[in-house]
Amino acid sequence: MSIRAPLFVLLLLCYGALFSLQEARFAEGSHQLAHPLPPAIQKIALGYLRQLGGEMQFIKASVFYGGLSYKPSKPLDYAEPLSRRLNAAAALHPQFIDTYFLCQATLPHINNEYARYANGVISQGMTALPDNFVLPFFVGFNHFYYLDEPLEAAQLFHLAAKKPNGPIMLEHLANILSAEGGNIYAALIGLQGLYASEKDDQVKKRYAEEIAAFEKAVTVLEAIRRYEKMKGTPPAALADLVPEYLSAIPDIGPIFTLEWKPPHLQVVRVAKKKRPPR
Amino acid sequence: MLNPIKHIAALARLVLLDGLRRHALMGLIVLSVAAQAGALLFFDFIPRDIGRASADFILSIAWLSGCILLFFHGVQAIALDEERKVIYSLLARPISRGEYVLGIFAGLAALLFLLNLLLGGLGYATLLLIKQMVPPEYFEQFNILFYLLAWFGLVAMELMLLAVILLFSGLVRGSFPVLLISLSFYAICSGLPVVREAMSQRAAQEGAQPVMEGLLRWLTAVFPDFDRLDFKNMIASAEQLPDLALIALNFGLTASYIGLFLWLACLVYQRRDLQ
Repeated sequence: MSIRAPLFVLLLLCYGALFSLQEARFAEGSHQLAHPLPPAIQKIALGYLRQLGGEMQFIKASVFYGGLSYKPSKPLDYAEPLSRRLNAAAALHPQFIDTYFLCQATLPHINNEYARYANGVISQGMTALPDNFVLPFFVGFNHFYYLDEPLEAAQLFHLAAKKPNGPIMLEHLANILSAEGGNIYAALIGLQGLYASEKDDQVKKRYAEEIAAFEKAVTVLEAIRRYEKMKGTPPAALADLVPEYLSAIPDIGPIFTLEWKPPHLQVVRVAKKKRPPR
Repeated sequence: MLNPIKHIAALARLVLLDGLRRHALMGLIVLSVAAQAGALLFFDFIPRDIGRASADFILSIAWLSGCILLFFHGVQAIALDEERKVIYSLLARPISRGEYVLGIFAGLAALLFLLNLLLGGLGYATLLLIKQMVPPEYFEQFNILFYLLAWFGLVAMELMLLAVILLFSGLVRGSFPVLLISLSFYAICSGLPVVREAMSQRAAQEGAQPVMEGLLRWLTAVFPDFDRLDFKNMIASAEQLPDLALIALNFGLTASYIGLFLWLACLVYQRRDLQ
């Protein structure tokens, strides 16, 4: 009986010392976000709790990303597990919208590969939430800003504008990007439609300026078509059209400028040309 | 006709009282209340879709409680009848083995129903509280009809599992093997839809495999896809209106599945050597 009490105290002290040691070692170690199990395995294991599992994946990712003191400084150090976790969250609970907001905030800016990966994750939400306009806007924005794919962006902005509560400015942006991608006729028709339905005088005036610029671009486009018909190949430079096919290259500024990348004529925003490359 | 119903009701009452006496219900209610209080902390981690996440949490806790009742209390209650020789004294009375099976099912189903009724009420109050605590844009919809539909779906799934557990209890002796087999059954039910989805994706790339697809479809008749009774997503969302005919079909299928498995359980018990 007499030896039991000191032995118990000794055991308790031993446990306390080992626990403190373990905590100290844990605090020293690097805090990384672990790779999650594949979504298919999680679906099988969770069953009815699948949605809660998806929300837990989101919480893990957001707590990790929000814990700045733990986060490694370079995004590429944590991008892989973070992207996998967000993909798992979307696969487990595609209707849960927070996953897509976190995905958009954390992945596309890293590099083009992760911008495409983010688009893949958000596409799951577009299928699950067909009435939401924010998700196609996110994907369109990634195509436009990070991937420099204006035509794909235009399609998605157009889709977003058509959704319930979709802002009309996205339709406008879609038309501008269509022109930037070389689809000037579609952009012109779209802008004319917006002009006809707009009530605000200031906005109407802006649309009119843009329509005028696009109409000038169309005259250049038609001249290129005539040139191509006669010579069999597109002109090497726009200056080749003058004076036989066009009296002068029109100035379509101040908002836009023409850019000739044979065989595509693009109407590019001046602001974009001045923007430093990413 | 009335006598069998009286026998079943009397046995069901015994099973229900036994469950209450063994604090199965009370213990689970306390556990669930504590967990539902966690919902108030859980939604703090969710920036936007608070309504959906909270409803998921409440229903998931209820599912866990139901599963604990089924796998730990239900399996044991059925096995203990045999281990404690209670079954002999019951069957010595003018009660058939079929009535015995149906009585046990009705008693455990009543216990399950009572648990879900209490948790449903508590969950409803918790969701209302959360809805009042957050700005409306983060919890736009809370439809009581869809909430009830989600609970009916949950109870229907639990009743299917209960019918399966009764059948396995007739086929296998001892509570532990029944528990293992029942858990395996549930794992297959959760896994089969994933395998079917993977197969259909593969079929889209490499061409159809009619034999394998047919096999998986018929396996789903035995190992049901519980996702078809999962209506959690509708509680806090007005985006998808339910297809009423499909919902009726799902519940109809569930009722016939339970009936079929109970029938099989009655047959097994009638042929079983209780010595």
